[in-house]
Amino acid sequence: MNLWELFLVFLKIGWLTLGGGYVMIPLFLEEIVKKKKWIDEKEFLDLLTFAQLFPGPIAFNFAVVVGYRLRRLKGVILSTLGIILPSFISILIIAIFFIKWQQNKFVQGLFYGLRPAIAGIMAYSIYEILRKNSFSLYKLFIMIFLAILLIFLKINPIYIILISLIISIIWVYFGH
Amino acid sequence: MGIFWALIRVFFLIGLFGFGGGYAIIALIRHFVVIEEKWLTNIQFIDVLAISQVTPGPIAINSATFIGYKIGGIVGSFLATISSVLAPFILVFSSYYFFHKLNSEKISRVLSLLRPMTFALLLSATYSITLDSILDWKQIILFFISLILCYKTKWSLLNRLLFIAVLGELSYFLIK
Repeated sequence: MNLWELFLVFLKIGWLTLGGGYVMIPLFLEEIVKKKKWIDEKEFLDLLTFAQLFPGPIAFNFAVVVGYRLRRLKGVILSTLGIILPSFISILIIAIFFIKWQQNKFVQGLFYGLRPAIAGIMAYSIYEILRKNSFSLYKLFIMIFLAILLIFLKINPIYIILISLIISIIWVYFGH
Repeated sequence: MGIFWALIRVFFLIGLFGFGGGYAIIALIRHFVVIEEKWLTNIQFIDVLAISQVTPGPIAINSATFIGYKIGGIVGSFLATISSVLAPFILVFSSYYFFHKLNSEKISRVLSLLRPMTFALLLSATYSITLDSILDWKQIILFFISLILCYKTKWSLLNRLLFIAVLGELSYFLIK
């Protein structure tokens, strides 16, 4: 595999994914494991598990480990560049036009409909999570308490993330 | 210069604390961009979300590119995008470089303990997004159409958004 080929694979996957996140995983599997055979399926899953342990977009984290695994430093630079470029270019073009045309009646009408559409999709994702997980009463209480802190007291989510992280680490490593 | 530093700081922190994936990160981005820095109004922020759902790439990177451009032009857009992936890059790369393998079982347990927290972030983001998305009865109807499409159809995200965008456009111009 040459470096150009590696770059093109990540660029292609970067273009193909709308909405981001886990949509990318089957595409990665198809390209890297099945078509190009750069790594086998077991290693693919190991690398994916590794990438999921860190904050940040999963597709990006995955590009970091796969790029390094395949071609070391040059590989990482090209894989991450490939995965970011489609998003960067398309948003930049839209931003340039949107900021110029946002007062236009047609553009306003478009976003007038898109806003409740997005809100509906987010509300549905809450329903999906509640349906798929059975949270204990204790965890539900924590959730509602944290949500109230965030919504009504407008606390910076960073504090809530940090405190939850510290408590979880202590719990797993020093406690139970 | 000040504005560039602010962009770098904000998007670096968003990348560093972007746990949980998916819509949970929206609460974090919104806190910095709408409440703390006031770079966007809440409605403009929802528009950025809508744009990032119909373009390739994760929300964190998309919003960095868009807001970076709005606040600091092409240079701002470039700096914000790089900053948004800097922390995940350093964390994933250095861990993979030095350890190659982590005790993923323990870290996965820490991450699963974080779930009530990420769910609370999703609740608060959905609350604030919905509040400004359903400002009249037509938008309330569009919100429920979006929910029903998620529940009843197997349409892709893009098709659902396009369908409601067309309905929104029609109702915006035709129904007073």
